[in-house]
Amino acid sequence: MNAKKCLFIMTFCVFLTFGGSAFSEEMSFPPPDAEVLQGPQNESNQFARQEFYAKKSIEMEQATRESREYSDPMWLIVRQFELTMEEKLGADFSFGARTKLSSIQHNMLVKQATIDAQYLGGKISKKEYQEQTETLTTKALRASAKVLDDQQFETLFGFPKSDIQESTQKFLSDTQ
Amino acid sequence: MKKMFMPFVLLFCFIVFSPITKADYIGAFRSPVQLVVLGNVINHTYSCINSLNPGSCQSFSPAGLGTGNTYGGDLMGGSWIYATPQQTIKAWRYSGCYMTYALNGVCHQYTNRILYAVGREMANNGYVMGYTFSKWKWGPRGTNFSQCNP
Repeated sequence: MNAKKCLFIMTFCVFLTFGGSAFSEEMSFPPPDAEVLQGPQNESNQFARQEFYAKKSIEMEQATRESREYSDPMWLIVRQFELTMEEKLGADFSFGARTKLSSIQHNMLVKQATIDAQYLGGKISKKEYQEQTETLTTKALRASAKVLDDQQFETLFGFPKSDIQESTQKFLSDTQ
Repeated sequence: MKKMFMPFVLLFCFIVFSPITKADYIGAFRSPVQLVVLGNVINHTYSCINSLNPGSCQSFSPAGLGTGNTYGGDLMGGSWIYATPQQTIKAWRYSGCYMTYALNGVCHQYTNRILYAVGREMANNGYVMGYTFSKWKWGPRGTNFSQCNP
């Protein structure tokens, strides 16, 4: 075998191995978080934990999409927030409290969907929509606050219980 | 003579058709722009596909869906996420899926829609202020994400 043939075969093998879009799904660069994972142990664990819950949320979404179980999409949002509860408050967070919080959130989402439909259908004005949304959101947050102690509430939502009324109004008025 | 050129032809094909040279990237950004939220602030977020050019960055604000409205920002996670060409197409399609601001979600949900194309979601680590509240209110990708098809 002469050198030219040898070069040809080697190049062809490289092309077969790495070239072609048929391999595009499988090929990937090293994970972008690789550098972060090489950091201090504690930070790595924290990062891995965040990745774990984000992945779980994605998997839940994908599974629901594939099974086409969208009869009540609100439950998907509630289930995904249960993951956030577990992530923020720990896996040993009271099952009873979690169930209550989920129920409060689901009721809020269902009622919000009704208000949304009324607004989009032109049955209520923008002002009425904002007022009803603010009232509903504040009530749901206050009900959730009764289930959690001060520390748990702030850990989960990122603000103290005392800020519920004012903050919700500020948030909604700024975003609408 | 023809055989001599063959390796170069194959090398050219490899460079042109290789997925590595066709690599796309998606970046999620946290903007310094803040809104008052729940006694603190919420951060604006957005996503860019392949570059920081204004046309590549997708943003969702009270003005609606838009491009180039990036306000500068920090790359979340510290690096761009690799995307296959198919994933990039999905990301563009999800970015065009209709939303009404503060009704179906806010910028956080919109950013997560684009990240969904590469199987990612913003981390719930306090880096993006107000994210937990927006997830509670509208879910990770917005209340109408079930209607978005890639």
